[in-house]
Amino acid sequence: MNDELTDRLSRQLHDQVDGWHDTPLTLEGVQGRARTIRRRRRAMTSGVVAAAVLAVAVPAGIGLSSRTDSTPDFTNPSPTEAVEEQPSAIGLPYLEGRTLVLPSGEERQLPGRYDGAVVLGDTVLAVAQDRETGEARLVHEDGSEVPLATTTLATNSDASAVAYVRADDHVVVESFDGAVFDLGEQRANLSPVSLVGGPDCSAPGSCAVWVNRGEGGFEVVQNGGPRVEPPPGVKVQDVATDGRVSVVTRAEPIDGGSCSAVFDGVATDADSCTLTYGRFSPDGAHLSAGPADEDGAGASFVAILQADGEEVVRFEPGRGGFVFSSTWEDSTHLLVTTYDYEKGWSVVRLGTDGTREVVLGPRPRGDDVTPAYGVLGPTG
Amino acid sequence: MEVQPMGSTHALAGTGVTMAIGQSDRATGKDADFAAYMQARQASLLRTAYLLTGDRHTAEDLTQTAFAKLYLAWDKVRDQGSIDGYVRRIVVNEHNSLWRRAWKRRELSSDQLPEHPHHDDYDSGVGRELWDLVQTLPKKARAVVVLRYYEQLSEAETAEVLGISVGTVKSQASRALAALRDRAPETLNPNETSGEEDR
Repeated sequence: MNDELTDRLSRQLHDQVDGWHDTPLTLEGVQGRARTIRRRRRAMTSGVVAAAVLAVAVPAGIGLSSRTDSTPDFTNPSPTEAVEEQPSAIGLPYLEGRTLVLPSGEERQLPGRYDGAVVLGDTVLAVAQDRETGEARLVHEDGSEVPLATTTLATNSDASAVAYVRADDHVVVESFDGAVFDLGEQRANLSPVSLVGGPDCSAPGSCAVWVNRGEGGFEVVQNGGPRVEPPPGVKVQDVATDGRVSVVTRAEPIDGGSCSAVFDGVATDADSCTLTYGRFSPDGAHLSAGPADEDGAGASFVAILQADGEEVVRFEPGRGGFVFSSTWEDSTHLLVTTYDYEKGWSVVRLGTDGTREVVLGPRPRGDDVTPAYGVLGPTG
Repeated sequence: MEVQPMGSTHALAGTGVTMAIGQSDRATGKDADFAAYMQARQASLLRTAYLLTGDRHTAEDLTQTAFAKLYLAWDKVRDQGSIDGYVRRIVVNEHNSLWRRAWKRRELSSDQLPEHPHHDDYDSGVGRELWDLVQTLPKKARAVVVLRYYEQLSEAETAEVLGISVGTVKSQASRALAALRDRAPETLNPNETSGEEDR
């Protein structure tokens, strides 16, 4: 029935474009776009700032929310059994548009859309970035703001304090009770990855902030005490509570090939050039990992490794999909934010025993760069 | 399409593109391979992008983004021998993203009058009505139409590119053609004019 119409349609489509033989795009232009895409993805997936929604300027002086009496318990995430009865809930706070959803189920409406947030006790600190200027700022509930050098934040193991880099390149630790500890001015282009110690950083040696340098390499910013010597590598991924360090030891700037290792002091517990190591589970027994070569559309899988580097679980999204980020929910569950070109964004709970369930979504909105859900926790 | 070889060559699996090695002193082997592929496929991909978007500048932007994502994934995609399908899938899915971003921009600037319609060099003026109708189709239906009736992909191949089922491809194509029949002027739809359709 459609033969004539489809023939006409086919002819017309060809007539419309068959005269087009121009090749205006250059390799240099494509490489530049590729670098931009890579920078954007790295910015969106680094640190605790996992949410990626269009930032809207927050009116100064407007609080993030009304105070509530509930205090999210980060040290004791919701039991798995309870979560399975309500699969839309997760044991970490997350952002969905302007709504911050806490593990208790409490929802707080934020006055604007943020690039991320961290919850310290019952206080919310949000991060907003101006899309035009690139300037970032940390917004407190009372409306006060701190200009930031980078959108990335790093919390300590019990989420009682957060480290960030101010626009004047001072590395700062802020505790849940509002105390601020300035670790001093550092070199430019640092991004915090992990805060060891705190929430009180007043005593020498009580806090150490692991930071990546923008030009490659990493270092440890301390408030005195015995000097921590970082292992060799080009990027630090995480620091376990027992002192082991997950490191990218080699990375190709464009094609994305890399090697990773876990260092325990000077010894290497595990290493790989087929996987990029990520974050340790809270108990340090497992490690998240992804492909060593970055995929153009995002990571093609996420894996859970044992401490010795042996892979025990792998999650690969459906056809055409990719892994955006992953965050440890507790010691035995990894929350994976993933995109499927047909279904949209989802968060999948991946167990160290191989179990998996979709806990948020799928939600068919947003493009493949701006996730519908921003799980708040150290991402890898 | 084949690139005229310069120096030693090898073929890229699944593309029919012969790659030249050592074309540039500065370029790495990867860059040389990628550049050859881009040169061979750019015009074709731009044509598809234009049919999806109906706008030359948007088509170029879409194609550059698709090539950039392909560049980042080059080694893996090349090893899998699926370059053409991969980059085509990116174009189609990026178009969906661009469409959404454009929609957001229009929403944010609703007080501004729309720009004058853009007529570019590729409007031959012949069959303009049908082309105009194609541009009114929903984006997924339009993608199905372009892949099926321009790229001449099978239903299964179209489903693969779009990441949807064959059944969805069939239903999208059917609805798109029905919409075109409903809206098409009589000269474009002689079957309906004669009253013979579906009898």
